[in-house]
Amino acid sequence: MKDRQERGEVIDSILSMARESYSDEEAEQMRPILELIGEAIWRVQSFKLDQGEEPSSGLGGGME
Amino acid sequence: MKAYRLTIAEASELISGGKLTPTELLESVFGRIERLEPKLEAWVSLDKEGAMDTAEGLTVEAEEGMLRSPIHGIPIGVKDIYYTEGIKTTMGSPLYRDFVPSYDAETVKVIKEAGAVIPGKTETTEFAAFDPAPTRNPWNLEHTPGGSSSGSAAAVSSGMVPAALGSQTGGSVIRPAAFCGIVGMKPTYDLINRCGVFPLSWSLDHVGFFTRSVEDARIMLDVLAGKSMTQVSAPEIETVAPRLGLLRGYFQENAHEEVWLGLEAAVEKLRDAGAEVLETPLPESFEVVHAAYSLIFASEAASVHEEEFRRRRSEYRLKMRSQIAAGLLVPASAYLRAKRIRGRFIMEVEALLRGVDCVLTPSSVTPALRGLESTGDPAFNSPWSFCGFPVISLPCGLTKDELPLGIQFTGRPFREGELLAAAGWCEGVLKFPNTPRDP
Repeated sequence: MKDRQERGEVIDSILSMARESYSDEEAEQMRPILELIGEAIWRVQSFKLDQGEEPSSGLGGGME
Repeated sequence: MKAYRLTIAEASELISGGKLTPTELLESVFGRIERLEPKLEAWVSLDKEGAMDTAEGLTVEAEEGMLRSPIHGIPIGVKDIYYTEGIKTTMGSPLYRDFVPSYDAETVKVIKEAGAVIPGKTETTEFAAFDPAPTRNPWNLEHTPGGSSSGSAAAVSSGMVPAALGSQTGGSVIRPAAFCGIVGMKPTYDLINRCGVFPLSWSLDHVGFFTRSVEDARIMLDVLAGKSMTQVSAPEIETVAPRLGLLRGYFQENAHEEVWLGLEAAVEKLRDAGAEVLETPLPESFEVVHAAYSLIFASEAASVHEEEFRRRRSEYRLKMRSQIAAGLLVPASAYLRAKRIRGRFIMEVEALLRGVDCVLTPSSVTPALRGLESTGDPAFNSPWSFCGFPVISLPCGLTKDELPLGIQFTGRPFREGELLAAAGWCEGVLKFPNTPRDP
């Protein structure tokens, strides 16, 4: 139940931001993508990372 | 054989042997384009006069023995998000309907200096995202060719040009290649210079291309990235059967039935021919890879368009408008966390590839969809755009409705030579000979 509430809270939060930033009508039109984004935020936030794992800015490699 | 049907390698040999001129090849190509274009709509614009002038100059050079490269005199289509000096570049959007760049994209410069001829600009979805182009699939006009590199894929598949430039942020080279029954390659992230290619998502955008054979893909990569990138794969290596890692899990669970059956049939042929195919587990971070990808994509695409969007929102088509609006709401913390996950995924895929030459999956979730409203689902491609590893798609069969299926090979970063060697060997086994009937 807690996980579903947290997921639901994230999605509701994104929908609420959309209503504030755009109109209610536009937010409703965008609901499918907003729900996907909300779900993605929840999943990414739920995935455990180690303290030392930095944001990757690419492969940064070259020819060996 | 009609000249427009020649691969790059075949045409190059004839040009260097004095048996075909760049002018003759281009005339054949334009004849083909003129015949098929009303039905396929692969081109935004054609520059016949400019291209013929270029071809005539290259013909003189060839006659004097001055061949610039293996693509000397070869017509190559260019996706309409690549800046081309003096030639309208629309990004598939009404916002850029009259935009004429004053310089060439770096990749365009490279192929021009190598002697390519550019017949015109190929159709793209709006800003290389989701709102479709008008292009139709040469295998069945009622079906999408995929996107966003819709025009480039259709042009190569239908024999209009032997090769074309595309780009991939999610699946925009590999998926159209699969849908159109041709070879598509997305090299390692930033191996090929993106300067002058209109961005969609800076961390995820890749230059890519379409050809009709792995040999031609090697030629294109040699020109674009420098021969040293493929020198590991001397042709002899293609006689060695590769070790291939088969990824099931998510891919098997979500693939359209005919797509998975097509992959299994291809794998059986490869095994029978001597390839070792190992069951390879998906890495732990795969469970969150699509979510992380979508946040990076959404945030960056929104940032690319932020200023223009605020001024001219109504001129964006619906899917792009929604995408940008949603992307502007992604918190920075979520974006950064997605990039941390990217680092983890890169490490885990590197580990995955240690015991094999490359890993295999289907190139697309479904065969080419009926209708033009959707270019298909990039879910099988976006993980490889996310980590930036090189990918090549080969056609491997047909559905019962005669739509092509593709098999996707992902290799180690900056080891394109090895990937091409494995793909070349597999191409020799799979022997996909089909071309679409003329519409």
